[in-house]
Amino acid sequence: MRVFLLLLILLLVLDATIFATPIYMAIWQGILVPGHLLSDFYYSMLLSLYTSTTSSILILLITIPIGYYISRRITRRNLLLPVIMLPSSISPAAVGLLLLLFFTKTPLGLIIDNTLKIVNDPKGIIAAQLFLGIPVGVSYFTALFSSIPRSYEDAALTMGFTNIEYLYTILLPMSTRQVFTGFILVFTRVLGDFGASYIIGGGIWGKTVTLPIYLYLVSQLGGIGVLVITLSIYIVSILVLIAVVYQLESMEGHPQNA
Amino acid sequence: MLEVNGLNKSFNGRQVNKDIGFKLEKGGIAVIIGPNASGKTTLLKSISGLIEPDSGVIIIDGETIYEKKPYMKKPRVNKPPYERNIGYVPSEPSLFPNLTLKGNIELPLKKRGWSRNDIERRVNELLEIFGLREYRDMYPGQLSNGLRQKASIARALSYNPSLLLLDEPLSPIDPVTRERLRNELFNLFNKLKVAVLLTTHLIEDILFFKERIIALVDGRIVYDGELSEHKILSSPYMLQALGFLVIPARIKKCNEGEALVAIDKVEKKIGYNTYASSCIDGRNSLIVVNPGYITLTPGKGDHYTLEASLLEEIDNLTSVKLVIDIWGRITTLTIPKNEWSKLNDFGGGKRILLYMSREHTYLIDQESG
Repeated sequence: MRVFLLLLILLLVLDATIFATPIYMAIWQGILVPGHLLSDFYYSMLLSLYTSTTSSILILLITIPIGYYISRRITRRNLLLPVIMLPSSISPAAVGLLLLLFFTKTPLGLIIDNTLKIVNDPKGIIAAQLFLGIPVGVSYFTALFSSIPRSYEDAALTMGFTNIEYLYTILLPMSTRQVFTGFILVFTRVLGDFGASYIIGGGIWGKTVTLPIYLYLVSQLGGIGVLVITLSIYIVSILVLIAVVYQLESMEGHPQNA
Repeated sequence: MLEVNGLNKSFNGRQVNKDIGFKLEKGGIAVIIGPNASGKTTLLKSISGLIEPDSGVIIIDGETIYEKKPYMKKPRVNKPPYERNIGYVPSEPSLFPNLTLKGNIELPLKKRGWSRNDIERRVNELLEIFGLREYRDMYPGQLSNGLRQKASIARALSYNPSLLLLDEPLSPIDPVTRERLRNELFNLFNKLKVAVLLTTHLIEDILFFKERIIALVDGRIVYDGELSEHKILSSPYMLQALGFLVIPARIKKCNEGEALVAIDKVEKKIGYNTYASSCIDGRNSLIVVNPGYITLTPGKGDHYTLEASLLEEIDNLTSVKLVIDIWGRITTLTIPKNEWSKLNDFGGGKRILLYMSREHTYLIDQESG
């Protein structure tokens, strides 16, 4: 067992070394950031937050009822789940290309793009994020709702609630913490997307450059000072987010779980 | 009040309810007894509308809530559970953990659009009747099993259903509380004049609710009517038909939950449930065991052990069915495959050690009456 502990320590050291690199580089190099790149950074951060929050909320609205339905009605899931998981199993760049093909080369896609303006627009990024995040949401909520004893639902139905009323007025309030965890799971997934967002959004400065795209573009420009600082901010904020989520998860919920 | 006729239900080709038919009068209490997997829960769920039977008729208060003849493609009537106005308490936890007792009990009333005053009055009335007033603002997780069960029943009765279905209401409760709760519930049901259908696999429940026993074996009703203590005593076959393991023995010495018994002249120490047994030194008695609580590994609860011989091992896909001989009585035991292979590594051989639940072993005196 001691060998396993060594492995764990090795993993932690590796993590710390890699993730801390930009932070001490930033300190060592001093903070020398050209003004225009910094304002672009703020824009990218806001754009990332805006698109990820919007798409995460949409994903939850879509995947919660789907997850509930699958958990209740579909017993043979081994054919359905691969199809649902497909977008998150293939490369995000391929997802972006698929969307680009659809919106620029098919009649239906062209009509949608002409009316809604998807390609080269933040809306395109949201569309890409939806595709990538929905599988995560569906699999998470299917598993969540499958794990909640059926007896709650049986009682609610005989008490006079329909399935839909049960889902929204009893089941979700009963599992707020788990729903929040699902939100964070989806949120971190879509926030981190680079490939799909870059291809459908085009990476236009001041319009469709999200945080991961910003990091890539800055590294291409050779702005190492900006890169280490923005990387540091990015890593620290994600770390804080994850830590908060784990803290919430381990906290005691309702006394029933005590 | 409740009328069930020709009810059939099968799952994956296995018939769990076969031609079930019975009537229950207003205010009547009937107990459905049967071994594990005899179709008790399926029957309750069919009546409450949580599962759809294959065919049959269910009538409540003169209103047909389900009707399908075997030749019909679709049921003529099939009301969803939320329109049947039935109180149902499942065997697993059903109080919503994020709501207080009050919050739980008022939920169905809010759904029905009762006025604030009416809800308040009804909730207080129920908490009073069930003796739960001091727990009003507590969460289910803070309460004992017995209190939780009472609260679940109070909630199921809040909207005045004419029929109350209880699935194994007393099984999760410890034996001491169980006896008190059983009396309490019985008096309440009589006072509230609600028709109650409850399932059980406990002998204490059969002895207590003996006025109306519906025995279900392999999904079929094998007995419906009053079941006097005498009838049970004089007929070990009845208990056997209900899936219990019945072994005649002579009691040598009784000692609060432990008895020295002689079976075919071999002496053996066993444990028994003191709440529903009559253990008298020197009498001929029946040892009645619920085989659902025989295990190969010590689980939770109080146990005594005994050796048995293994006659046959039937391999199913995920489980193993063991045919075992306990003092000349043959019974079967189904256990998960992984558990069996783990055990097999150790002992093997023809003799196996069984852990018997003390709570589910009864002694019934055969010489009285």
